[in-house]
Amino acid sequence: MKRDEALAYFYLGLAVVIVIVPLTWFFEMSLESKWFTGPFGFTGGSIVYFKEAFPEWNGKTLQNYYFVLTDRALPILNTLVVSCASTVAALFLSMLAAYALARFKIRGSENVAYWLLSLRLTPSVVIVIPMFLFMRNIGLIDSPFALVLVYTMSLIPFDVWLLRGFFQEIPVELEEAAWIDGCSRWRSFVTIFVPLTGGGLIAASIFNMIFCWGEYLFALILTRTNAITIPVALYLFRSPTMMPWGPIAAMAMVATVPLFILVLAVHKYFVRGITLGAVRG
Amino acid sequence: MPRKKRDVTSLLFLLPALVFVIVVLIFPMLSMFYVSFRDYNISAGTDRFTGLQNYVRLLTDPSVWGSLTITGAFMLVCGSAEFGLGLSLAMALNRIGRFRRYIMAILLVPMLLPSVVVGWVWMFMFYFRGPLYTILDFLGLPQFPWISESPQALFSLMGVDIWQWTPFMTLVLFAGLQSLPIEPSEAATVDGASAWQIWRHVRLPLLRDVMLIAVLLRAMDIFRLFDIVSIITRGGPYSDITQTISYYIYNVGFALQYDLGYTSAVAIFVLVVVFAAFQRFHMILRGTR
Repeated sequence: MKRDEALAYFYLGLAVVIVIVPLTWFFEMSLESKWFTGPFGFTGGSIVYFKEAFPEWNGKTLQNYYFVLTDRALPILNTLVVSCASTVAALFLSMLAAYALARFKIRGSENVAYWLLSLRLTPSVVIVIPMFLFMRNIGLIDSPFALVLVYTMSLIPFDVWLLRGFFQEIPVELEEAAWIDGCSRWRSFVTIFVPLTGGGLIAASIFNMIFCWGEYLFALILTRTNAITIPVALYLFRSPTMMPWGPIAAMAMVATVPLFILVLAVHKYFVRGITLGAVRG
Repeated sequence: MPRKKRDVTSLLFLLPALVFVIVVLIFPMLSMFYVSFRDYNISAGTDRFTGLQNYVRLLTDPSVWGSLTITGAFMLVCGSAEFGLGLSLAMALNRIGRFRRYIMAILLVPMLLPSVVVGWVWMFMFYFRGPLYTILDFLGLPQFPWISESPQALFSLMGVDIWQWTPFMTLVLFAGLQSLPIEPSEAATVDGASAWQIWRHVRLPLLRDVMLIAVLLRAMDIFRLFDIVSIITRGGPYSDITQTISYYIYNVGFALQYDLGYTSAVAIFVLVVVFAAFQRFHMILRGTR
């Protein structure tokens, strides 16, 4: 091994350690039974809830997970519902728009793409004010439906942008053959085009889920108690005097692990899709 | 297909998304514009036309300029640090033969984490008698007031942003490096150019577009810096040292008072600033093509 290659390994190793150490240290807290920190740091006593249900094992316990999954079930359920609904709604609307942008020569369609991009670059704190005014006027503050509307709206620019790229790579000849046989635009879209776009749709839906699952600012401002999501529930753990680190870390795991599972699962799907295509030639 | 019919069909495909965005985004944005000319405070119950008063107030509001300065400082420090670290890590990744996939997978992790989780991870690290305290204590080093003193908290937050987003830079720049054609470098080697000369005069110019886009995206994202501030310092600890413009808007509009008229004016001002900055970057980007 050459000297500069060894140096590269050392440098990357350092980066990997800096990424991993805070995460493992933090998530280790989710297994701790001593969760409180008082004003004097990590000296708080053990927690009494769930002590019987989850005996300690070398000082490690799952009681924090039990606590957040039962006591904070509402935000978890809200996040699940809101994320799935927004993902599906945004994909449906964006798919149609992206098809139009990819297939039809629309005057100013390049500008549409530019506008969608600038929408994506607008700070969400600027959008949250009109959203708050709007939802307040139609009485949707603290309703999951408000979050679905706002998330769908936020996702559309990105999805259209992403899907348009995927769609342009699909050859138009397949559809043309169908049109010659008397198939309508809509029917060829549903029966020929959509089945070909699997990879793009899955990639888009993953990005959508990642966005919705961790979205914080809109949820913080548009919800109060009934419609709060996981990030807001995490925020609500914050207190000036006592930090329940165990439940915080457990909730943070709940906010993180599904995303990793999703990415890993799709990674496999991608690989399989690619090899299948290669075998069929 | 006849031209008329094509236009109608294309419109039918575009229409649902367009109508949705207009109803849920454009109308509310217009209503925000309208509200920005009013004294509209939900908690005080006021709602009357005041002309340009909100705009005059924001131009003389030291907090607006202070938070814009802090946002600019974040942009400068985090942008350059993330770019420098990202480029060097991408070069290192490009240099090694084995474990590349695993290292990239690990580097992907901070990007995938919801930023509220990033905020809590580092709140935990910085917390009194937390991990960083323990590490410094173990090494026998003096303690550092990570988030409890004023200028230090700003540096800590910048560090968190760098921790979270350097991997993004690394992966984008690495993808750029991978897509570089190999012939120009080979030709330069044959001509007797040193490794440094190849980097400086062959590869960096070829990478320029990728680098500018990555920096542009990061710089625009700094305007959104809110989540980690809200979890870790809430704009504090003293004298609003970590109050970014996003956090200031939240503070005035939602946390302290519901002074939505004034907040709308500030938001529109920020929108103008963001788009001016975007146009500027966009021009630089186009100028190099």
